[in-house]
Amino acid sequence: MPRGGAFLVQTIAGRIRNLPLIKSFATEKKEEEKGVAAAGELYKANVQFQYIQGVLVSYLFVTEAVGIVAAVIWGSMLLRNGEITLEAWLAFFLFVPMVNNVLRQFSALWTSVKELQGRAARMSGIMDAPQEEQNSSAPADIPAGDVAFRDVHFGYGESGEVLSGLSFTIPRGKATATVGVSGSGKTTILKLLERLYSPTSGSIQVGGKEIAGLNLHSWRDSISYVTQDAAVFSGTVRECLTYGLPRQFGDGELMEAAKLAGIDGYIAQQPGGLDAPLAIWGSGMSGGQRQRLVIARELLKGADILLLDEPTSALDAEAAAAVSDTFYTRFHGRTIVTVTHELNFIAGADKIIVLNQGKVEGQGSHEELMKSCESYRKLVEEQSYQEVFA
Amino acid sequence: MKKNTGGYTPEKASFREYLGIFMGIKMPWLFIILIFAATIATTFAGLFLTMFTGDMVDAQGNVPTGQLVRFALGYAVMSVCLAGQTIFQGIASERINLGLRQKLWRKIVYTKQSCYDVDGGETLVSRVTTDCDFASKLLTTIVGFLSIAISLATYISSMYHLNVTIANYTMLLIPLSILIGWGYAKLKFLIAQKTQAMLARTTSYLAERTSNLALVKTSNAQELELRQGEANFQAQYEMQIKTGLMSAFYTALQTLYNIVSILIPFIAGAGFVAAGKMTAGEVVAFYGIAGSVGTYFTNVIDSVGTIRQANGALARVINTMKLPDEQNASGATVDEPDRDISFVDVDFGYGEEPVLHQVSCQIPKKKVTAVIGANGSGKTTLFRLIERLYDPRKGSIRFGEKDADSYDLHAWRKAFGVVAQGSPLLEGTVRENICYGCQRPVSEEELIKVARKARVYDFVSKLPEGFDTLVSPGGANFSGGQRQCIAIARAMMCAPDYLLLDEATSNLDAHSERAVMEALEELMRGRTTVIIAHSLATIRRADHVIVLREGQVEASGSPRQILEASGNYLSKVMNRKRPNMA
Repeated sequence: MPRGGAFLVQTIAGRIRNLPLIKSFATEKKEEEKGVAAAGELYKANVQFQYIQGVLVSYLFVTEAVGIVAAVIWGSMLLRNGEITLEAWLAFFLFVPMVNNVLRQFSALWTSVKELQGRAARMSGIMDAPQEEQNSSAPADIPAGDVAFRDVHFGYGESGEVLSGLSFTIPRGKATATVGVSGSGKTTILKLLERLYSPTSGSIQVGGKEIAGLNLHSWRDSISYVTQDAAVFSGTVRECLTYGLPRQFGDGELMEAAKLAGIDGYIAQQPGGLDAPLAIWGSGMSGGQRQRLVIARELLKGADILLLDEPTSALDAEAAAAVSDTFYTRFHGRTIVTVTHELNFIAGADKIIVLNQGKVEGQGSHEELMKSCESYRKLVEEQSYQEVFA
Repeated sequence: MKKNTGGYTPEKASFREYLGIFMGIKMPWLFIILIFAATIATTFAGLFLTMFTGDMVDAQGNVPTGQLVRFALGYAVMSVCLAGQTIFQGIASERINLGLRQKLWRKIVYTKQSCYDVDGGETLVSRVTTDCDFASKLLTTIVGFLSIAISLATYISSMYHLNVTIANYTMLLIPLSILIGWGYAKLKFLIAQKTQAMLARTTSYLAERTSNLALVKTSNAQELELRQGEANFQAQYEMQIKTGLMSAFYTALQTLYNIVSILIPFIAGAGFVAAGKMTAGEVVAFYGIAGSVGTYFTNVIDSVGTIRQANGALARVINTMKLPDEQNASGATVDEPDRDISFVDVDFGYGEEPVLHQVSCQIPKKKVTAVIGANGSGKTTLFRLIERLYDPRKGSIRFGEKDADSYDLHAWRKAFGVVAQGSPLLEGTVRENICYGCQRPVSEEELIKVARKARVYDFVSKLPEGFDTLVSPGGANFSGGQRQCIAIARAMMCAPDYLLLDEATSNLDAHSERAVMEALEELMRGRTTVIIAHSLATIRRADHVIVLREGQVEASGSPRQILEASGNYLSKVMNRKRPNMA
């Protein structure tokens, strides 16, 4: 079965998005051929469709023609025998196409039904997908206390386990840094905390209570999640800063948060200030600027728990230091969990957790880990090596 | 680099340009001729059948069998012609659409990068996918016009042959039908444009939101997005109701018109039959012919509507075709021994604002040059200019003594290996990604060797499908660090003469970062490398350093010189270790 329109759209869109890459590698010829081939596939699919259409059209016409011919031939015989009158015969002759019209509409409806069945099947796939467990009947208060992972196992699907029996505690009101090699499961921990996924076994608790049983809306309200790619949606600056927040904010409050995050200058420069539009995919801003906007947003949210996933990876050192200072001072007293490999953040943390291949290799303070944890020591030494002055 | 998303501005093109579209496309001439022939045959068969029906009525049913057989045959011919017409038209249309699509796509791939920054990718996709469909519609409509013209001439002359008076009455009705059709077509066009613009907005909204549903969830913004989505759908609904109402109104008018056009031949005809001037059969035949004439005129009006729609879509295609190509033609290959690359007084900006101003610097051959500066100081832009994705507004980029422009664009770009910010991976397997851009076949050993050096082998070998694992769109099934390693492996595989590394290791933890840097060091030895650096270690390892500040060269020289002179600016911009971790 040749692939049709959706495949073409996907092929073309993928390449257009990555044109700079294609040009850099001078692979235009190859990508050109891929697009041409995809168009060819659509052609084949459409031609098949046209054949079917042609057959359908002639079938409809043939039935009408047969009807008319039969009416004429039969009718003329009856007319000769005097069994029907001329008017009746004429009426019949005029009726046949009308009947066929109605039949044609039926078959058109039938084709529609078939096409819609296909679409409905895809939609029902989405509709049948499991919903998030809202726990809306659970109370709106979130218990205060340490966050604990107890023997948590988790994998995304067939790619195997990412977390293999993870157990550690994130102390309340303190800053915890999670370090480890790429892919060791650091970001996954944050996603589990946000309840975007559920552990396959083991439990995650806050203040002794399972987070899986808490009111989902309230739980997420109590967490600020700053991701690696600083995602924002298009809209105005104001909409972005107050995205999903439960109350209204005055301009003064917005600009104050912006100042703390270091984005107030940028906002002031935009025509319209707080009402300036943000382009789709956040493309009008640099990565660093988006990060600062996101940080301002989370400052406004004022959540008890902060989950930071390499929040300063796109910032230069001056801004990174300012931002990490902001987090550690402004949010002092809240529970902060940072996934990072930058020493800045690690140094400011009260507790460090070292992950290795989905397990906890060590947890404690910097001094403790330097003594007890081999891979932590290596990590620090290499980072320091890279940053020593001549 | 903001887009203008306000309002719909229809694009225009000249008549010659429309014809120009079909140049270079393999036109299915045979099919077109067949369509034409089939249409004419259908017309004449139809006429024959109508007249025959009239004769049968007059014969009061006493029709010899032979004639009945001819009647049945007439219908048989018509069905064959009709089927043929539909199929030929279908295939010819698809061929034309395919031709245009491929032509447009080939063009897009070679167009200058700067053209796409303003427009954005989404509209381009619909150019290739839906706008191209109108090429065939335009052509088949034009061909249709010809055959309709002939058919009309034939039918109208038959009408007049039968009875001049009734023919006149019938022809009087025609302008009315044209008026109704024309008005409707105009309205439909206007609404269609608005509907399309609205659909595009809704699609873009949905595309953006569905790409990051996690953000919606974690922000507890579900209610907000539900409301916004509903607002979009509501607007769409109202648009389509309007279209539907208009359509219904038009159908009512059309039906009314049809009834009148039926009544005329019969009422007027009855009078003539009574007076003995016409036979009943002739009235029946007239009715049949008049009906066909009416249908043909409706087709003409519909065609005009289709042409207008096609014009809009094709004008966009034409304008895309007119976008400037990248300069490629002339140009030497870069087979010469390495030279210094230098920027001489370069000015550049993506839009109105300048990003680089009077930039002059050297990138010495076979050495490692580090470029440093705060965000937005122009570092990435420097790379894009080196790659000749864009051209400087003023000044020039030189390779030794010669202008970079004098070299063949492809050869130039092939000579550079790039590891870009964000490490975009294309869809395909890990293997395909690593070997991307490499013209020669790559053995498994070589692949594994490179993968080990780039620290890709460790995590890829653990995957169930290894190197044949598919990279999902956007590379979402790999972590940021892993994507970077794959991109580095990709650069390594090509073993280019020059390397452009843009924040190559910012997503990796210290352990992997060190390993990759070591591998890159090997690769960099003896090659000309430009690296956008974020850590002091990289600066120390470089041979030459360029410091950018707000689009200008603040300083350049050896690492020692730079550290001494620009220490202040540097310490702000570079990672520094915390004092309590000595």
